[in-house]
Amino acid sequence: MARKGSAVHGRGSMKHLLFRAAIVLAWVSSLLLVLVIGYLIFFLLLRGLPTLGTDLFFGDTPAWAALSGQMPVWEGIWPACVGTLALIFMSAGISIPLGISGGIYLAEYGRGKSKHLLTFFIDVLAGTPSILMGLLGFAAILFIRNVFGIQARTNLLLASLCLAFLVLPYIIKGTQMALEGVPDALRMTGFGLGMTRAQTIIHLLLPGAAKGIFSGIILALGRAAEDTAVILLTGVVANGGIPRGLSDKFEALPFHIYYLSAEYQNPQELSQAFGTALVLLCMTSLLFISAHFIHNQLEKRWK
Amino acid sequence: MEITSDTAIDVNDFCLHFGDTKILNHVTMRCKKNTISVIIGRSGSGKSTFLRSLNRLNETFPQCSSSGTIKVFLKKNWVDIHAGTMRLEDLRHQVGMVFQSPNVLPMSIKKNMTLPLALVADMPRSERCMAMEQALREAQLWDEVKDRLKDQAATLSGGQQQRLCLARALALKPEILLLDEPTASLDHKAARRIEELIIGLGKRYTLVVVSHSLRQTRAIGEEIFVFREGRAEAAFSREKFLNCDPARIMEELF
Repeated sequence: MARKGSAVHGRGSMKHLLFRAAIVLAWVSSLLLVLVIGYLIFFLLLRGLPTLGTDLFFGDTPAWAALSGQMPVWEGIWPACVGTLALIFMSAGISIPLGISGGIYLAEYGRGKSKHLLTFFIDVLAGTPSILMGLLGFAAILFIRNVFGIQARTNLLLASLCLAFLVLPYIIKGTQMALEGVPDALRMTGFGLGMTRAQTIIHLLLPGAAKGIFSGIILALGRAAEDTAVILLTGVVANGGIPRGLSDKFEALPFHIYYLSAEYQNPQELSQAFGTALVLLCMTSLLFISAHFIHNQLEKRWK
Repeated sequence: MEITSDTAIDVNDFCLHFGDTKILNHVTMRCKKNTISVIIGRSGSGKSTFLRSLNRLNETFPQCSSSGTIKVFLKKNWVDIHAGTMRLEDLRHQVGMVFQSPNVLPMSIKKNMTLPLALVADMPRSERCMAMEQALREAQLWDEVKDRLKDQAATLSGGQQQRLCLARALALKPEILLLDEPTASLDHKAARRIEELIIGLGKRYTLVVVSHSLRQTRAIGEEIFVFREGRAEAAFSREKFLNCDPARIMEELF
C-alpha cells in the first residue's frame, strides 16, 4: 500500500514539476523575446541615432528646397522614403480591397470544390518566395516588350503590383479566419431580421471581424515595407531621385540599407545605413499606429 | 380545421430534412390570426426547427431540404413562402423572430434598434428615432433605457436584452412574430414579465411561441400544438387544454 501511495505521489509531483517547468519556459521565452527586440532597438538607436538629421535625409540640398521638389536630392535618403511610402500605399491600395473581398468570398460564399481549389492556390501564393514574385514581374516586362513591342521597363507600378501579390495571402487569410471566427449566431440574427447576405456581411460580420482583418493588413504593410527581393527585380535603383510617375524607376529604404551595407566605401556610409534602418523602423511603426487609430475610429462608428 | 378568414398560417404536409436526417415529418396545422399559438413538445421534437421553417431560416444551414407547403397571410394576401413570389428578406421582415437566448447586436442599444430599421425597413433617418421609441415602449423597455441609449446593448440584464430583441423585432412592424423559447435563458421574474408582454402582444400580432414549460403554456397559450418526433401530434384550444389534467398530458404527450 505504501509503495502504491508513493507511486501516485511520485506521478503527481512529476506532473507538478512539468507544470512548473512549462511556466518557467513561458516566462523565459517572453523575456527572451523582449530582450531580443530591446537589443535590436538599442543597437539601431546606438548606431543610427547620431546620423539622424537633415544631412541623412537631404544631403547637401537645403531641406525646404528638397521637400518642395525644387532641387533634386542626391546624397540623402529622402527619395528612398518617398519611394517606400509610394510602394506601401500603392500595394496596400491594390491588395487590401482584393484581399478583403477574397477573404469574404472564401468565408461566406465559397463552397465545395471551388473553395478548396482557391484555398490551395492562396496557400501556394503564400509560400512563394519573394524573389520569385520579383522574377514574375521581370518576366512580365519581358513579355510585354517581346509581344507588344513596347519599350516598357521595370517601374514603380510594376513593383507595387508584385508587392501587392506578395502580401495578398496575408490579407485574404486574415479576413477569412476573422470572419469564420465570428459566431454563427450573429449571421443568424442578421438573416432573422431580414437582412440580405451582403448587409449581414457589411454591417455585422465585418465589424465583428475587424480586429483580425486589421492584423492581417498590418502584417501585409510591414511585409510590403521591408521586402527587397521583389523590388530588386522590378525597378528599384540606388540613385534615381524622387519618382516622377508610375512608370518611373524609384529608390526604396530597404534596398538603400542593403546597398549601403553591402558596398559601403567608408564608415560614414555604414552608419548612414543604420540611420536608414532606424528611419524604416520608425516609418513602419508610424504606419501601424495609424492603422490602429483608423481601426479604433471605425469601431466607434460601428458601435 | 378549415382555412377560415381568421387563419394566418397554413402548413400542409410539410417535411424537412437536414442531410439524411428527417426533422419534420408531414406537419399539417393552422395558426389563427392575432392569436397566441404555443408549440410544446420534448426537446428534439422539431418544434424550433418548425418555427424556423416559417421564415425559411433553416435554409441558412447546409444540406437543408423540404417538401410540402407553408402559406402565410401577409399584406392581405396568401403567400406560399417557397414559391419565390416573395423575396426571402421581405418574408423575414414580415415574419419577425426572437431567439431562445437574447441575441443583441454588439452595438449600442440605439444602434440595435435603428440599424435594422435603416437596412431592412429602409426607413429614413428622421423617422427612426420615433419608431425606436414606440417599439421600446411596446416592449416596456423605454423607461429603463431612455437615458442610456448610447450604452452597449450587452450591458443590459438578460431580461432587458430579451425585451430589446422583442422591441427590435416589433419595430420592423411584422404581421407574424415567432418566439423560440423566449424565456428559456431568463430567471423566473424576467420570464413572467416577458409572458405578460406576450399576452398583450397577442391581441395585435399573430404569435407562434415555442415553449419549454407547461406552466408557461397554460399561462399564455390560446391554441396549443403538441409536437412529437417531428409531427404536430395534437392540437388543443385553450379551454380544452386548461381542463386537461397536467399529469395526463405529460404522460401521454411527452
